[in-house]
Amino acid sequence: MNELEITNVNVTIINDDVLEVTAEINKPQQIVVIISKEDIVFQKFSVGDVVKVIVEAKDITLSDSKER
Amino acid sequence: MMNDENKKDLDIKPRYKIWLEMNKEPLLGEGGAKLLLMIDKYNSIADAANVLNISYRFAWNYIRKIERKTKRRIVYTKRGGATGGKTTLTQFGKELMKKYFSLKAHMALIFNFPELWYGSRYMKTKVNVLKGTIVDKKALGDSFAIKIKIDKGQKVSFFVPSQHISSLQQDDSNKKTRRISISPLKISIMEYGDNE
Repeated sequence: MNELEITNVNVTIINDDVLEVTAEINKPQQIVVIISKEDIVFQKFSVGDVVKVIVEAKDITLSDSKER
Repeated sequence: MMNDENKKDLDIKPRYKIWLEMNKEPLLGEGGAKLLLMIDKYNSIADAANVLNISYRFAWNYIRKIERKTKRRIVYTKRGGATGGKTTLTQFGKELMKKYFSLKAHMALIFNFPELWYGSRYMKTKVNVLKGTIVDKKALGDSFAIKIKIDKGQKVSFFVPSQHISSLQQDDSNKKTRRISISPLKISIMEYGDNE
């Protein structure tokens, strides 16, 4: 499970059931992405490459950093 | 004869109802999910029942019905003590509640945005594009584990069920540091000129 530490959390009410949360990544952090060998063949990934990572905030749990 | 010139935008909206089933029998509906939410908030079945304007007996029977069906406890009651005892949700109770409200939030997104009613653009949540640098690559059988350093200062946005609103609003400062769980969907080499 990957997690990101965030700050400057702003909340907008979309409707009765859903909120939109915007926030900022407050410090450099590391995540791990598991990809198949086929993807590696299709696109070479090497240490030092600058990449774009598409992430989904999934199964969201907002937790205080100090709790961990 | 219909007069098209008089036609106005009709207020047509879809409606939906969600409940969880187990072995094809209803297990948890809107009322039950709200009951769990209130027990989680007040640590008391009596207070939860009071807020929801239902009897304590009805609330307790509802809980027992779920526990009998699942053969698992969904609340834990600690009697007595200086605080007079309290009832909290078990881990399983919290999971049930979360499952219901997460599903409801996803459904609400679709039903409140007409552009999502058609086609396959089912939006589970927002996706974010983050810029990072590969710092490690390890083979794991048929896969690779790519460790990526995500740069600071980037914005993220996402949808959350409104049950989180109380905990979010209780914070005095939006500067408070928090954590979110994320699921990387795809990575690709950043080309020159890619939007960051």
